[in-house]
Amino acid sequence: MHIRLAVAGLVRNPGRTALRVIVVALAVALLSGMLLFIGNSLRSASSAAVRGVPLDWQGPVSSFQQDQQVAARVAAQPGVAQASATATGPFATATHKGPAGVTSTGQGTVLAVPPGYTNGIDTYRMLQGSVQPGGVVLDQQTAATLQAQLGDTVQMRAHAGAPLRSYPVTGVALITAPDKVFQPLNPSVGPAPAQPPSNAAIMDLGTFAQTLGRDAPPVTAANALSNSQPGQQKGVQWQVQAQLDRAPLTAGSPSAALKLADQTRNRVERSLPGQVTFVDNLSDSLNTAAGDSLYSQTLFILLAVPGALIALGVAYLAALGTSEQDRRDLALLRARGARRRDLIGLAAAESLVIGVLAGLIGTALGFAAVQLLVSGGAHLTAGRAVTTLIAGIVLGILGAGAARFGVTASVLNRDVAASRRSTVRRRKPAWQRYYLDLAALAGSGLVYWLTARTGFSAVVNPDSNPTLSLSVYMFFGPALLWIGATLLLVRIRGRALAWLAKRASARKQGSLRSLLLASAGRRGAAINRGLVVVGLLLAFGVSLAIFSATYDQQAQVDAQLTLGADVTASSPPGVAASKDLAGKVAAVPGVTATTPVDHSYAYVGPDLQDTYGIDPGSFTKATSLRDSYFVGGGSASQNMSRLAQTKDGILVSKETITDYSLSPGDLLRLRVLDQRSGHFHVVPFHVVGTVQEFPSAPRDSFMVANLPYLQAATGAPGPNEIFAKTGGASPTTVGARVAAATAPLGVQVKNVDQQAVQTVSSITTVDMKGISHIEEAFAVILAAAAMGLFVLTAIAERRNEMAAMAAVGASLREVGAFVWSEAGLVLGASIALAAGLGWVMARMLVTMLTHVFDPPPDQMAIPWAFLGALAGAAALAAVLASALASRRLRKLPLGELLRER
Amino acid sequence: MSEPIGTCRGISVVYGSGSARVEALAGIDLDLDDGEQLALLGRSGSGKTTLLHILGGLVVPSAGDVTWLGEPLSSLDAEARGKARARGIGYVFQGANLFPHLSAWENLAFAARATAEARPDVTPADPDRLLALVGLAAKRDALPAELSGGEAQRVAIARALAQTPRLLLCDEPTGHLDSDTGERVLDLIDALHREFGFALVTATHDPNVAARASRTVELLDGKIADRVSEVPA
Repeated sequence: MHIRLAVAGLVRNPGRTALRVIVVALAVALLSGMLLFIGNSLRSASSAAVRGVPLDWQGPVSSFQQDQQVAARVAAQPGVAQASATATGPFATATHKGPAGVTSTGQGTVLAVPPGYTNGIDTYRMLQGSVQPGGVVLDQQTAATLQAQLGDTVQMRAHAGAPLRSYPVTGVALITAPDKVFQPLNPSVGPAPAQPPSNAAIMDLGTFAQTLGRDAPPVTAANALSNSQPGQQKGVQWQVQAQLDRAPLTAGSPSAALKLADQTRNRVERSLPGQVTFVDNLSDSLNTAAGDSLYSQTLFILLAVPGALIALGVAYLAALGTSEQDRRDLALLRARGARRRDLIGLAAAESLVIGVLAGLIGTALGFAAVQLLVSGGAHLTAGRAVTTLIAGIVLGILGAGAARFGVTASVLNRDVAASRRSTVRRRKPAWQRYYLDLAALAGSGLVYWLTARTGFSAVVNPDSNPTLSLSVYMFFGPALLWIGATLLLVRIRGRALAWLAKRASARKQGSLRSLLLASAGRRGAAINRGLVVVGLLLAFGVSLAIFSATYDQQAQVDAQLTLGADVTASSPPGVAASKDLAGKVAAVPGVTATTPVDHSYAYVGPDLQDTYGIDPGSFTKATSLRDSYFVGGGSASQNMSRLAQTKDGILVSKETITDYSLSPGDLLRLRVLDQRSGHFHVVPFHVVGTVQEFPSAPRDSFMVANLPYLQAATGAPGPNEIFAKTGGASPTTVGARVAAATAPLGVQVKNVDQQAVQTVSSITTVDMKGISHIEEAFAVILAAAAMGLFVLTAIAERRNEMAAMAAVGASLREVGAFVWSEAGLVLGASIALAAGLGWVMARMLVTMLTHVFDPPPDQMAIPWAFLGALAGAAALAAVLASALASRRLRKLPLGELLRER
Repeated sequence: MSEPIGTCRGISVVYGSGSARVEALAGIDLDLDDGEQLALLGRSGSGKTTLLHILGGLVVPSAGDVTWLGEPLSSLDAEARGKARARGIGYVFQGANLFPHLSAWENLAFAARATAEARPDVTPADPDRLLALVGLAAKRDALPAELSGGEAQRVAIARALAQTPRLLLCDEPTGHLDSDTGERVLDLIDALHREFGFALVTATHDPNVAARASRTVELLDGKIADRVSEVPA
């Protein structure tokens, strides 16, 4: 019966019903959009984490036969897409007799693979030819060193005393995952990506087993340790390499993928007891992604939930606009014998109907928003659509119920309070008596302070890959700030505004301005209601916009720091110098500057560190260096200048400076790999500065030296990377042009846009654009709606008062002034509140995540265009609503309103 | 004899349509003379409040013409009718209808201001003097919610006086008051009527209240009844 009555009531007032449905639908749309986005984001994170793993499992075994048997059994397991028997083995030298004479390489490593290996495993890419029985495929760098081509014959020996074996060159390849393929395998330690060998080749497994594989002893548990040093593999590592089915892994969150991957590995290992245990590269990657996804979910929720809650506040405003009508309806129903229970039942039925409608519309809106505003769209399947729809309807019912019961309760309470006014004194709510608002604000400040000091920890794991560990508890800071600020605003009830209005109205008594201010001052609670909703919405928009703009800015900076420059071109040894790669890149339209970089490795004591040879003169023209990258020794340009002036100068990372008690001017002897002989030898450098970040360098330990001096020490035939700046041109476009211009040289070209998407190990790669676009759009719409509703609610509440004003001869302009002046006050106070609270909130979020950003932001990015649009939308809505209000005033039924009042 | 300040000719007011059609007034003709005291007497629903609203331009008749100071109120839009009211029509409602967020003084100041804008020739009323006149100088800064019913009605009367009215329309001015307070309010209105000389129209269901007027028009089901009493001045 309640449903029938509710439907009848809603149909009788179509405008009022539509307003409530639309406002609740907007709140639902925001939340359902967020749910869809988070689902997509998690699946994207899983895909990215899985895509970034070229080789899932590597299981060391002791012999060729065992390798084949185990691989066959693993391949038969459910969830395993491919398992191949493979091996890696050393060669002491490779020799090629060509037209220019005999050329030899130093020691290197062979990857032995069976036919069909590349069907599902992506550790190398063929540039020419193919892997064939009896032949050898040379890594492009080795092929360049040997000056060998397809059809030539190269001779290789496993170690100094081993026989020399001859192989026809059947292909040239680029080994894309050498750090994984050639890593020392110790399942109890896990993945330990290693320095790639200087020379590498690929061979058919059968051929390898018959030749080089026979010449060296197998790696076993007994000699694994001695083989685990980079470049020290002396034995043959027989190993089963396996790749899992991708589809089940990418269907859910990284946590679900991690669980599935672990379960599959455990099952496979259990089914082959004592035969194989895997080094799990996949779980390692998924583990990081799972941590990042927890962080991103928390961040998304933190960013979206306040907006959705404030959207419910707008729904409350919408319901409040009809509270007078509700009061009359309730009075009528009571007069007809309805009990309190009936009235609550009717409100529940009405909420149910409105909630279902709003849930359907809101979910559709949320879906449309994700489809339109998020790159890649919503990826909706039937299952996800039904789940989201159910969630949307539940949210709609809850939202409609919260708003409706809020009003019903106030109407019923007012009714009761009116009858007991002389005897009942209303107590303050508990949160006011116990000052929970101030406690929340203090808690927020405390969490913020603790977080800024200790809330993060950068953990550098043994393989020198830094990972970040964030405490989700630090998100209590902004959450408590929202709660505290909202409650404080409710407590104040516009008293500050009333105080200001009272002082202002006392100046020129009797003028319209003073009367408007006096009235506004006494309507503090009503104005405060508008201020709470509109101000918090605007603050939400401001904090979100500033934070996401800063986040995007830092993600871009992070990507550039990781990659090195807008566009980079990595070349095989010697190519950059001999083929004038720098000149070719510089000639590409859109490239404004280039600089050569040589990336190699050197030992500081026992620590192997990345070493970069640069040209200080052109480096800063082709990429960005910030002063914050350098510690204690002046600006970026001063450090570059010092390096340029010191031929054997070297910039050393902060960690190394500390560990080895180094100071500027100190002599630093490095063991540098001589690429000609393949041996390390000692080279003297002098420390000229301390560096903590550098383009393309890892986050922990590295060094930067002058390119000519380093090349002389390493014997490298020129730089192996060219950095290019694109100025204002799109890095993606320019990168494609560079790739096209350098295609024949076997150059690998990357751009910063691609890098921003691909860097899955960094927290800043969580795509904020999608969710921030959705929320910014809703913030604008909701701010406009809230402002409009405030004005219309004020009219609805003051109809009788305004009718009386008109009756005493006031012009409609004067009557209307009571509406628009309050709208102006709410708008002005809301903008001031939003500017303050929004800025503090954004500052808090950015500061909390400062150490996640690499490098930390120098200052917050302010998206003025969006902030202007946000304030403009609220102002426009206020103007439109005031204009609408004036029209309504013109049509006020004065006689009806003033009768018996 | 001078021209009437207000006239009603063939006034009909109809609400709703079809089976819900209600004729609140039907064919009312009425003249109002300057300074006269008229009572509109009738039971609840007889149409007296509607006629009062027609005279004050708050309601536009469905048919017929109404004039105020020679100006055809019924053909004006809402804004123009408001201006016409500002030129001398004061209102006292049954429920005071004070502006709840303005003090007693500010209620008067608002009305005085509206009148001053429409009638630059008239000296603006002094709210303090008017509050003193109705005996509420001490309640100058009180908000309507802080006033008793009688005090609120006296402020409403003072607010109507702030409009420097030539016609004061009172709709059951004692309807919400106890009899003693009601009597005092009626005495006050009579005294002010004598002092300021405005025309006074009081809608009432109480014959005793109507008896205070110089002329009584009885309404019955939206029409003027046969009985119209006139008391010689």
